[in-house]
Amino acid sequence: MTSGADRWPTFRIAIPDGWHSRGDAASGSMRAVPADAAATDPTHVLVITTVDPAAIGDLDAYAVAQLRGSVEMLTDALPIAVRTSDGPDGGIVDLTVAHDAFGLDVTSLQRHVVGPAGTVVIASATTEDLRWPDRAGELIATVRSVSVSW
Amino acid sequence: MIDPAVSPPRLTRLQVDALVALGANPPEPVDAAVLSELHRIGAASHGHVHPDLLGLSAVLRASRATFHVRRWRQGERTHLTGALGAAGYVTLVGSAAADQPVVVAHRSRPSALARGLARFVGLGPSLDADEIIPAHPLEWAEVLAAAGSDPPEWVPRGAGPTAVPTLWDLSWTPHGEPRSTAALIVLDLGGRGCAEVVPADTQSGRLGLRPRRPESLWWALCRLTRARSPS
Repeated sequence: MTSGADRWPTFRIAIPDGWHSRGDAASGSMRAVPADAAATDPTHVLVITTVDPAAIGDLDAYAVAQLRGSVEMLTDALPIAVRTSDGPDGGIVDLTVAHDAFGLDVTSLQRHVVGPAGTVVIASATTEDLRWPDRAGELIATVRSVSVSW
Repeated sequence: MIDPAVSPPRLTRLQVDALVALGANPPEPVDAAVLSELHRIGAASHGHVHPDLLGLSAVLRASRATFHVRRWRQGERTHLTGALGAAGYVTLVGSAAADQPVVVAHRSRPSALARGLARFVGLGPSLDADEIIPAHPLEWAEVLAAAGSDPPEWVPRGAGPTAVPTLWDLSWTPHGEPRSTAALIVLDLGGRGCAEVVPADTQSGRLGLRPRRPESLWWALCRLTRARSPS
């Protein structure tokens, strides 16, 4: 699926077969859920864009700031992994954080693609820890499939 | 005086066992001296378990699985034992001796156990260990030394509490099983890499270090701790 508008970068992400998605080009965002997801199922993929060049600096500093932000904003957050790398569309930060989400114990994945002008596209996926062993592969592949045209 | 709402209680394992017996329906006999002490510290009242400790008692009475984690850090060993049940999970952290106080905690959601264990062992962001760990098999004493107060040369030095190497092992025993059916042994080099400790030579008993990323250890913890109800 692709989305984009004049002021936002265009992103592309491979949504798994059978998932429902909804794009919102005006805000450069998109949300997708499995077709069989229950109302209480936290599994989803969400892509959003942010623009804050002043907060980025170098990629490692950005990754550390994002990690700290996750710990501060999420309930009972436990950072599991953070990695930085260079991708074809910009710098990449991959985060894995376990946390409480409204009484559910979940694992969240994020891939941040940092563009040349400081715009960041974030692909994020979340599921319950109890389902993580079964869904991790699909969710990792999904968030890592995001590509961006700046 | 115990107030679980304020801080985790410190109880001996003997006292915990007594709370489990008191929480049975009907209550089971409890050693008079232990019962007296439970009353004195507020863990029991008029022969009944303190209401804030009923969940703890319920989990330990009807668990789906029990677990034991040993954590070595700077030469010190800490035990975490616990149980997982429909009413959540319980952990006892401290000495393995029955008469020494341990920190007792009860969480009402069984699904939070993976995060609780990960936090205890210090699982978190880490570099890849591929270039650090020895390729040759090690004796258990050598693995243990990596988490000791004077680690060997190959263990990287770092500053800060999160840079301290930790060795931990986890054994898991489903309800009704006489022995643990799963085990995970991990050497965490304080953010500089993680490795699973695996058998390398069955004849000599030597061990190998297999690099693991924290993501894969998290996956293993989630898989292990989603125990189903006993059939």
